[in-house]
Amino acid sequence: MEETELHLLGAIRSGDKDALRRLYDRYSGYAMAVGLRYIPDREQVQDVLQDSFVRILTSVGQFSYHGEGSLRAWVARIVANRAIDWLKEHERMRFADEMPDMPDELPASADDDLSRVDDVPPELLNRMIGRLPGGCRMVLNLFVFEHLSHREIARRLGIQEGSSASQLSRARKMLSRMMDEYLDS
Amino acid sequence: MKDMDNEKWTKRLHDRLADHEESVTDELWAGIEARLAQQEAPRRAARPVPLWGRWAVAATLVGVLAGGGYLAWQGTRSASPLAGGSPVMAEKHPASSAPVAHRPQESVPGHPSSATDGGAPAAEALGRQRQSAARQQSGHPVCLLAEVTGSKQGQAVVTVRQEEKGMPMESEKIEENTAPSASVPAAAAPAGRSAGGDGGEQPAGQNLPQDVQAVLRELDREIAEAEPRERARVGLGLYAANGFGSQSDANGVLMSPSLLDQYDYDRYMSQARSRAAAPVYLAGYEERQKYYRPISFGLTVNIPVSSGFSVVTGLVYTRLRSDFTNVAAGHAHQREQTLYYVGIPLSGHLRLWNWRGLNVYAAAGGQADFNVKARLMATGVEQQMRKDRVQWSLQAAVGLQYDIIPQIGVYAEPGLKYYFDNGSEVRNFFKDKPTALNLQVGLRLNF
Repeated sequence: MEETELHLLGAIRSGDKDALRRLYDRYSGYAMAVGLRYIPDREQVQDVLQDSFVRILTSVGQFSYHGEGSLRAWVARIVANRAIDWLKEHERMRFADEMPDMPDELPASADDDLSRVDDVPPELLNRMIGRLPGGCRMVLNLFVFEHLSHREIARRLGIQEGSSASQLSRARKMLSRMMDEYLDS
Repeated sequence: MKDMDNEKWTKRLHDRLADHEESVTDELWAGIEARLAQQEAPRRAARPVPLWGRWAVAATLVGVLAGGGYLAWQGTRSASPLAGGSPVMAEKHPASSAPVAHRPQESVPGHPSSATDGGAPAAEALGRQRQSAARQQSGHPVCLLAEVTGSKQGQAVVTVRQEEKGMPMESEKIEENTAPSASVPAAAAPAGRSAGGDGGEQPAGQNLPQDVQAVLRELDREIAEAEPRERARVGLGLYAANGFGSQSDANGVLMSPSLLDQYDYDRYMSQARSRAAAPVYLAGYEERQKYYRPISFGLTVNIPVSSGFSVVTGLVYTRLRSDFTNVAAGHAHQREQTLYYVGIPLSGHLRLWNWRGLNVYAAAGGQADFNVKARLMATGVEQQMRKDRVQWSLQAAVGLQYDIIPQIGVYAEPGLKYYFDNGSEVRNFFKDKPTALNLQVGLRLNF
């Protein structure tokens, strides 16, 4: 039976050095998946993860436990923040409002769109998100996985709220197209 | 319809990848271990100051202020100007070098009065006139002795000296021309002073020589002019404001206009209606905000302008705490925002009424608060956050102050405060409740 987060935290706080390694083993794979959604290059994600885990492992003693799953969410949050910082430093992102090359209409059947999500393997879906343009990728991750509103995303990224909504819409369309291409191939 | 579709798609994508993991290389852990080893050098952990320590600091500060005020009160306490002829019993403070007030001439009991003893020599007739006075001057009461110590060549010799109890400080000899007086017996005159040079005797009888009287009149005038004057006092105040209560709101999340443009909005409306009349909320999304009332601590200086009006300024530290909860597709995401301000208040205080140490006053003014630190925590992780702009406010209040001793008073100042919209994106109590009741309580130290 897997060790609970509460038990793991207790072990860490009592000075169990192995508990830190158990924390890393438990969440490193998940953290890598989160990182790859922001930064498609694996080597660069590795650098980001190294920074993130150093911070996680040195400050886990001060973590405030809120229930099973809260530690995992905290790890994901740290990785996401570091990834966003890295992107701001290394990538030039554009948040355009006008999308002239994209079709205005969504796929005819909304159910088809949903089923595509289920049909594409998760690892491929994760890669597809990583291949989105920088602005769309950032907004999609913050909206879908960090549960931020467009207003908060706008404040965080220094863009207009309308731009955030447009970027999400574009992200969805591009993702749908990539899923179509995969499923049709 | 389409927003529901979007919501489903978002949730489906989230759930599909919620537990997804990717492989990691062994090099990652090696790199982490190496970095951790570098940080193994003993670090001084930030020790949070325990709560009792803060209370101890606050109690010490109050104690120092109270003790200082008590000592200042003790120092300024002094006897009132004399009604009789006895010298002032002021022995704790050194004599001031400033001019000393004089009291009207009084005869010392037991000494022959110049007005009644016509046959006594001038020195004895004059008697030893003790003019003693006291004037509260920076807490330095002194005793003034004016003596006609004899006559010399037709001139009365008046010696005026300041004296603390047991500590004669200085003396001034005022020699004035006097009318010939009755002869002065050698024994009654101080050594070295002879009787009148012309051989005449100092006049005995009621009147002092004119010039001597002029000197004494001058001294009398100085005494009369030295009214006890209440110095304008500078006050120093410590206060705490608010610290309780909070304001909670819950909002739906509106679909943005640009997103709305991408959907055939009007197709789903049964009749033509403006978007303002029929806003579209995202289903399953909600924003909750809880704004705690600001907590303020201040150190103010009360500068008197006139007897009933003073200007107050100083420094104020304010902490604003807000909690935001975003609910999206069944997931709650909580954030805690804490803003720290340092403010400079400027207000006028007008005394309305006072009675036995109890003062009622009206206060009005403004304050500028500068956001020195902004902190945003989301599930235990600190996030970047922009600081707020300068926050301007106006306040009107009525204050009640009770002076425990003249130097220390406690006060309460309930009032109304209005916060101007500074146009920033930062959400806080000031924007949510621009007009709010405010209660300030504190300690005021008057110098």
